[in-house]
Amino acid sequence: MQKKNHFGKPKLDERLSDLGLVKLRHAMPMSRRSFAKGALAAGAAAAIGLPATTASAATEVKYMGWQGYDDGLMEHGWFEDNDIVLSPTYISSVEEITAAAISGGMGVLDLAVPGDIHMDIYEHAGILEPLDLDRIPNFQGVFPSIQKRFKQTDDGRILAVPFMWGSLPLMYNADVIKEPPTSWMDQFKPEYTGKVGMIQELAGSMIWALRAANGVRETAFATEEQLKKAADLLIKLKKEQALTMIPSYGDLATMFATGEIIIGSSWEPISVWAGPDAPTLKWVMPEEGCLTFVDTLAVIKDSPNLDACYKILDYSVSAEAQAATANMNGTASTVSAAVPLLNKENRALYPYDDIEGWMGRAGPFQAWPAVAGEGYVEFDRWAYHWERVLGA
Amino acid sequence: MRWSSIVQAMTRKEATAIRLWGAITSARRAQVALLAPSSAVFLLFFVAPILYFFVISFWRVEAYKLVPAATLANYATAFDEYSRSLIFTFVMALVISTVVTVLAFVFAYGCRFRAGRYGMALLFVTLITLFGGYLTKIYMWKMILGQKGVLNSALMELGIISEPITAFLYNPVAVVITLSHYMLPLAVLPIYGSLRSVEDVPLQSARDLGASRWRVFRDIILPQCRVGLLVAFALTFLFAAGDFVTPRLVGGPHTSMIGTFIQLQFGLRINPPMGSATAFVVIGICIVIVALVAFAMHRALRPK
Repeated sequence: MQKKNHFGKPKLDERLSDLGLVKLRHAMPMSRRSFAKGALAAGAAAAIGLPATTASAATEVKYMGWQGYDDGLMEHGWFEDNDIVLSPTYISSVEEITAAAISGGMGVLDLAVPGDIHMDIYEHAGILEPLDLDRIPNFQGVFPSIQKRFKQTDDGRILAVPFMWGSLPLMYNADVIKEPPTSWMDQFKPEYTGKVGMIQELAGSMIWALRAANGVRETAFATEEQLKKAADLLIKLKKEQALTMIPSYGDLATMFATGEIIIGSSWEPISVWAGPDAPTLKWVMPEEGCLTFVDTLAVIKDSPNLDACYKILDYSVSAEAQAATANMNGTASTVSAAVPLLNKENRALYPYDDIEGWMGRAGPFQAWPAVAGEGYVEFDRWAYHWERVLGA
Repeated sequence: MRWSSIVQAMTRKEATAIRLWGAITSARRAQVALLAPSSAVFLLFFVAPILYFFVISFWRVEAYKLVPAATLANYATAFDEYSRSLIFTFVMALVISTVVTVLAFVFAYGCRFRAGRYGMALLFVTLITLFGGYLTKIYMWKMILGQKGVLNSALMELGIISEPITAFLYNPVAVVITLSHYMLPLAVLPIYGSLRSVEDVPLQSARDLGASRWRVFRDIILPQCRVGLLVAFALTFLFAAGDFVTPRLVGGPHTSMIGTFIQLQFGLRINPPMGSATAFVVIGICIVIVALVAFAMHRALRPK
């Protein structure tokens, strides 16, 4: 029997049912009580997923950089002692720092790891906080030859603190190549066809190519014609000799270790990262020289934790932090007082007793120019020709 | 006049219409309330960023700073400087999506019509491979195809070759293999879903009436899984067109996809307008290609 409502009419449910409609409330019964229960359950689930907060008000510093650089800093418990929590975002290329900074990272991010070769660009882009050296007393312990690579502003500020350094020499498999190469052009020897590794990094490829193609020692202040020749040389190497463009230095180490490549532009710690079962890896500074670089720690503009950043920067160039970082990563320390604390593997990799001489033989250092000047083009033209190499 | 009198005075149809409208409005309000949170997330984290990048794709950069403008120069440059890479990217994406769609269809067809009670188990095994992770699978293929990899080692152990074959890795074929392996489980799902809706009775009836197996397959099964095929194709095509990590790791020196250059525009060249314009060129071409394939499928797989 059909149910009727107060007015004696058939109940709405019956009518809708007759018409083939089903009320939503029947399909999904909802009351204020059940909605509140659901919301509470959802809130509890969300709260469980939230990161645990420390009991004390520790300062959280957001770090954007290479994985491993932070490990050395955290080795001796300094962060716990100073009530600072480092919150890392690891990068796969240094360009990610720039992209993050200009896309809203300023005012949010704190620390990053730009290379010194990019300093002019970063200065023009205005993404780094100028640093007061009086607040970084440990900076005075940095090797003088490295200190002078950092341009100081008129009021004695710098844009970044040197955290580690290295060079990009020509590395080779000494078990296969008995006679050490002497020039970057040795990569074109017929016996190396299909066994040359090209690192997919502008600095790791274009600098040596510019020198080898043009017979120059100057690097950053290049003309359009010089860049074109450098790119053409790399395209020739890519087409005739290279096995592949290698996306990272980690992959480079693996490929040297497996013997897939036997020669190519590299970095000193690759010989360690390749592992104990790898072939004997040696390197030379070719007659054209090679790039030397300094990776830095810098503060992103408008960092919300400037005081904590200064503390970290000062600690990062202490002997303790430098030794821990260098021993862990196989990278070079920038501080002379750290050298006695380095393991013998690390001391064998780098010429700590004559950094000035090594860097002098490598060739003059210049940061890439952000804007063009008389007789040279801006960095964007480097990037344009590098894209030509990648697209060829 | 009392409300009850008003209601009683209405015709039956008028009263029913009012009650229905109230019910529908109430149902609609409930629907809106339920969809509101996900819609807000979609608008805030997808639509808004897309709109932002679309707007800046018409801007310029001066001294690494964004300058509002209304120029099509970025789009012109994208076609001018990256046409070769665009063509290569879309050819690769078409090859990969075609291979994946065909393989996924064969597998899904087998699960639905041939595997019997093992069909669901096979499907489950396919889905388990999704747990592998993207980078893990790429490095897995590097280990299989490399000079000292599983394949070369096996062939040398069997005496088939004396030196490792270098051609297995660092070329476009390695990219097709790696991305096809990654996308296959995702393509199987929509195709299997479509095949599940194909009833057995019409197929048996058609066979009883004298239709050949090929006729049944072409005129009954294929038209009914057209949507699944299109979804599988589009999913694979869009992913492959945007990928640049796989070609970088296994593709060799001549497989730079357009995604590499978009990344460089944002990072190395600090030129978000140019990067955005190139990205929207890719999106536009993808839409055109998927639309063309959808049209072609609609014409070719019409129910008979």
